Amino acid sequence: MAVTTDDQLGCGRDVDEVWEHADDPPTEHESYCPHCRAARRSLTDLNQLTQQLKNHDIAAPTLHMSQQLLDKVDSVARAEVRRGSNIPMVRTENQAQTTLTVSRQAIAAVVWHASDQLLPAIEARRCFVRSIDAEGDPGTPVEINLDIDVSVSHGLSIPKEVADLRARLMAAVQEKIGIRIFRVDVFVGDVHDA
Amino acid sequence: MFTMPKRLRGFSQPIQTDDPAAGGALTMNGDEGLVHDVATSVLNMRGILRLEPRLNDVIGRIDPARLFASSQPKAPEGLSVQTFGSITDVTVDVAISSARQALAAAEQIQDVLRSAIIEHGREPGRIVVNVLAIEHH
Repeated sequence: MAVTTDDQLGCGRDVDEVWEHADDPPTEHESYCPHCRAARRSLTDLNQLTQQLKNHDIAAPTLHMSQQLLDKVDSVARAEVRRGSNIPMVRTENQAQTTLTVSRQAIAAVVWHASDQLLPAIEARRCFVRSIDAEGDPGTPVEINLDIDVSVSHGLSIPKEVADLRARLMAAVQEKIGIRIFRVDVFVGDVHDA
Repeated sequence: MFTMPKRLRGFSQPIQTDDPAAGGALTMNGDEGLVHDVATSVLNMRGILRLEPRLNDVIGRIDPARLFASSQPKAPEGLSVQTFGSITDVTVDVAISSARQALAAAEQIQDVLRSAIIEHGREPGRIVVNVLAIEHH
């Protein structure tokens, strides 16, 4: 006797297979098979009930979020995108043990502030924080790489200004965050009149 | 007989909860005091400007159907306190002033939270501190 189980219908077909195209016209087998026909009927009923509940929830005023709450969700979501991912501040034996982190945005804020000290000689345009391997001697500060795009004032020595910038950024990140910059790649993309 | 497709199985299992809103028993375990002390300790520290909310915090508060198996005391946004038996895990997201070094501030927060948890008779578990913003004044 064909018996329907949790995984299979009595005819041997997998119920997920019937679910996959429940919205399509029945196949030739499904047109005549009592097990598949019963399964399709049940799935159709389930789908209709689900849609009714969904329509009810859409219309129910008590389930609507206030504009204030929507604005808050939007604000927090934007802030999270701006922050970027978090970088460990201290090395651990493996990433799962990380408990102290700083956001890329927080690092960028320190970088911007330090580079602003060099205005108008250098204008920082874009910076990107890259993390080096944060696994290693547990407890030691993590090292990062930094990419920064700048514009240099016309007439100034680019090598000198860039060297100054590098030194300032390394000092600022060490002082304000407590991690080390291993490498600063500076791209001078523009020249401006100071 | 209705055979449930595999992808929908597991959703019909009852979730055990102590949440009184779900009709479960209310468990008084002093976690509200711990949460208050933890939040106060962090915000009273020099150079800590505020707790920073995360999207999970905001979303979690508007979903009445979100139930937890373990009792979860209400915590301010930016602070997560989870208790598993006698062990308490804390995650805190903060904005700090540039007057403090981020790593030093985060380590101090960890020490303060560890002490607060022990004072409440619990064992400190995983204490995570995320410095999400550094503000210059």
